[in-house]
Amino acid sequence: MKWAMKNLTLWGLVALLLFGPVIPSFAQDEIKIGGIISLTGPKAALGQEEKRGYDMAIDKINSLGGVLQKKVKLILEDDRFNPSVAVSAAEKLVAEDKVVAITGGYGSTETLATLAALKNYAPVVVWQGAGAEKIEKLYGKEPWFFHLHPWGYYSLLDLKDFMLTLDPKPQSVAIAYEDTSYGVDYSKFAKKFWSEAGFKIVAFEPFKSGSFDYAPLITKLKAIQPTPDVFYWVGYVGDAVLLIRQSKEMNFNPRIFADTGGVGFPEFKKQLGKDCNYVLGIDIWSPKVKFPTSTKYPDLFPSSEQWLKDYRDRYNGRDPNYWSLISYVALAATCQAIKDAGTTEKSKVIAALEKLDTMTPMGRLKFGAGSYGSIHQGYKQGLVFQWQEGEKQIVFPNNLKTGSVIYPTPVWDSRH
Amino acid sequence: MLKVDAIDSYYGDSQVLSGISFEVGEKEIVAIVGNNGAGKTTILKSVVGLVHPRRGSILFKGISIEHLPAHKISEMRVSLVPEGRCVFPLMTVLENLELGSHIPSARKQRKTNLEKVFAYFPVLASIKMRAAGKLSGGEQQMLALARGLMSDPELLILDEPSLGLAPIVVGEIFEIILSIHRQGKTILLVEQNTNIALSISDRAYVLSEGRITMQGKGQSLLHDDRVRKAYLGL
Amino acid sequence: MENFIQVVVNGTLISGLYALIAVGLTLIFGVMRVINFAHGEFMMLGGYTTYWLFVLLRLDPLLSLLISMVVLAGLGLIVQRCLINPVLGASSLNQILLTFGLAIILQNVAMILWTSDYVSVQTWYSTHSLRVGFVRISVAKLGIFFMAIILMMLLGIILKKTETGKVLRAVSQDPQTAQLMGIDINRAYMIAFAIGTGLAGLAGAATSTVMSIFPTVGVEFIMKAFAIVVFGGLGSVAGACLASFILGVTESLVGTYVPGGGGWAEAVSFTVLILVLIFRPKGIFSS
Ligand SMILES: Nc1ncnc2c1ncn2[C@@H]1O[C@H](COP(=O)(O)OP(=O)(O)OP(=O)(O)O)[C@@H](O)[C@H]1O
Ligand SMILES: [Mg+2]
Repeated sequence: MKWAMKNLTLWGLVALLLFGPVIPSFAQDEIKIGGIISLTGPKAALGQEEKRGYDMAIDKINSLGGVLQKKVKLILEDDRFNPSVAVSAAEKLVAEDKVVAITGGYGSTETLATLAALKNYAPVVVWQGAGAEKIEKLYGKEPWFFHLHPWGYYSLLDLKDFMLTLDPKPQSVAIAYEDTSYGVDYSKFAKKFWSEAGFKIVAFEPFKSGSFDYAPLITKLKAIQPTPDVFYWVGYVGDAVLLIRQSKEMNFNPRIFADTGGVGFPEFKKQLGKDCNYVLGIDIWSPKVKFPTSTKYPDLFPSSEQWLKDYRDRYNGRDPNYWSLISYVALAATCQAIKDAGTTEKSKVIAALEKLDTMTPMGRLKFGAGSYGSIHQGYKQGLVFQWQEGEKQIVFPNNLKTGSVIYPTPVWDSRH
Repeated sequence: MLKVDAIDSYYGDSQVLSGISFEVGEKEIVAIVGNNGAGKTTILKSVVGLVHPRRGSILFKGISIEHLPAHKISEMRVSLVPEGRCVFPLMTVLENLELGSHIPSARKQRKTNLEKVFAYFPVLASIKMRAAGKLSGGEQQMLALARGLMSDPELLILDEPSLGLAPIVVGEIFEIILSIHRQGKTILLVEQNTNIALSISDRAYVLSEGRITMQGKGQSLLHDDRVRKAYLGL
Repeated sequence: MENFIQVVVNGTLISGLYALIAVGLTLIFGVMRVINFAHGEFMMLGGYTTYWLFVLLRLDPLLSLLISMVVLAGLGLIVQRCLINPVLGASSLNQILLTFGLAIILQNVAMILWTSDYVSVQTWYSTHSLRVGFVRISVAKLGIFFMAIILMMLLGIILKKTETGKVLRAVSQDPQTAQLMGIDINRAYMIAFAIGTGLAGLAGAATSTVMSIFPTVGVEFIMKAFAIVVFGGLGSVAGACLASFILGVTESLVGTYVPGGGGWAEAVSFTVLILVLIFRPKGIFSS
């Protein structure tokens, strides 16, 4: 009996290996779109955010009748935040699944590897993640490449403009960054733009993303005299939480704590409680900033308030991170473009994407030129927020402001 | 006391023992002699449960033990002093001795047994806090013997106690073994030093390539021509 | 100078946590000759145990630390009996594959059950710190450090003085001879594994109060633990404690004083691992 069971499993496996890849090709009444995100691995929390947006989009599209009378099927690939896994995922999507278009992305390192692999096939790519300018320089001019997320340097320009509005003007900035191409890229621009704007860069320190002890870094920054006015770091949410905790432990008191990544996550607040207050970050979207329903595609792109409600209903009151929304938009826009094109033919889909001009819950989406040569850049706006009483308040730009910045950050010993 | 009946033992697929049968009676001292690699150690391992014979039976005081795990057989007060001594090198002499009386029946008697073995081996008492790994070969052999006695065994099994020792030390060790025997311990002894083994044993078995080829009184084997040729080099 | 003291304090405090993890790993290896690649995952599960006891029952981590330790020791017993025992006689490659596979499974189970979000337990002492002159000392980390020291001393006493401790040492030095002493080595294996996973559970619980817990948190620690175990001599508890301290302080020094040290600090453990494997494969403290 045991033997028989073993054999059965074995034959099952053999059958799967032999016929597995063939089975999907029977299902020709589907339009396949690929998605490459980090479902496991160190940045899985973020990949799960993206997946929530995807799941919402795919259900919405199919409930609206799919695309070209066919159901849309999203083929999700887990890149495990690993460039080589990402490359094989991309190749599988193109060569084996023969998807119409590919979406995905978060990390710049994986994105670079993925795009290098995809360049030979040049499929339609609508990429929601990765803000490294290197990507813009290398692939921005490719006709098949569409990019939604603002390039990293936009956030740093936004932060610079914001810092210039502060009174008294901060003098010195300490920069720390994770040792990935994302961290290197953002910190490089921070250094460039901010020193050009007259801030003095007093520290420029890399750290390993996902470390669990930042005491050495904080000790080092604390030793700088006078204390840096601004502490800016580039990292993930786990890094941000530990950096703040350990700044508190060590009583490190810059006037501003700012980050362009991890501090935007709900986990940041959840884990820090009131210690999250006064930290600044950049979002490309905020639930507080309202955008109206799209006039062209009211069902696909409802008002920002409606979208938020749908999201919370679907995920038990959970607050979305913008990665959910941008992934939603990436997938929805891709499907809409295929619909508009009336065909899955590549050149027509590209033309439809180029023509797309619609309001979305993240603001107006129209692919246009970026600052370093790209031709299909989606969003550019950034919102500087500050955690205040456990909520994000938009403090810059002035026309979208929901609160005033609290500056300087109260010293730790005075906070209770 | 111990009755081994036609056991075959293997390491993996290679057979080392074939049809081994022998007996050890109450208060006897029985020797098994044989050349390198004959299978002497394997016999002992089979008795104490470190190797399980594929065929045949082993009775200890009428109970069959060939399927029992080694620690269960130890608990029946069968004590093997292994070849090469195998003291616990990083533990002190005292700790080694304490472990010798790990089995529940002996743990209660630990103190008195300690006194007894120190009486046999006064040297050990003077170095009891030293790490066993740092002792000389002779001291280690004494420790191994003493440890084997700590459980107050009914059957004491010795695997080549003379191995690697200077002749003078060998003499000393066998003095002690004899005096242990005179106190009424049953002993099963394996030796390559055929001369000594045969001269002190009541009965003996000659092992060759996994089979018992001769058996008889120790003294009579000592004077057997074949034995003298093959094992005593005379 | 104040800064230097702070740096040494930082490194010392973190070393307690390292020791909790590394000592369990080295004990399991010493007694069973099995490298438990899933050790970090037991730590992760200990962290989640404390976290959920805190969220659901509002149990203070000070109390639930012990519960986590007991729960993980129990889980370790089950894993040892059902999974590790059957491969004890197998080749070490099989054992590595088994514990490695177990690690991946546990990570994924955690991901499915609790998502990959970072969680942590917030108490007043989580980020509270003492001021000694210019030096800041985190209360929670100090507590963990002392707990680790007390536990290590306790473990030392158990190993040195009790019958069970002697049994564990005997099995680690010579399993075959240990059986001749009437020692049930399977029982010894279970005890060693349970102590090891219990300590890992405790380390996880501690981590949940001062850092964060997420499904792959064990991966961050396990490589350091390996480095420490090799550094201190495979199977040596005292060596592991000392190596934890040296590694903790070295990381802290490198992280602070080497330019761009944040990246280098993480490499310290690997450098140590490689150097020790090349020059002193039996560990730095072996004679
Ligand atoms: N663990 C083992 N695995 C495989 N073969 C073994 C093992 N131990 C012993 N052998 C083999 O079994 C045979 C008998 O070995 P055993 O140790 O019983 O001999 P012995 O008579 O005690 O020899 P010696 O006088 O050298 O101690 C030898 O050929 C040996 O190579
Ligand atoms: Mg032998």
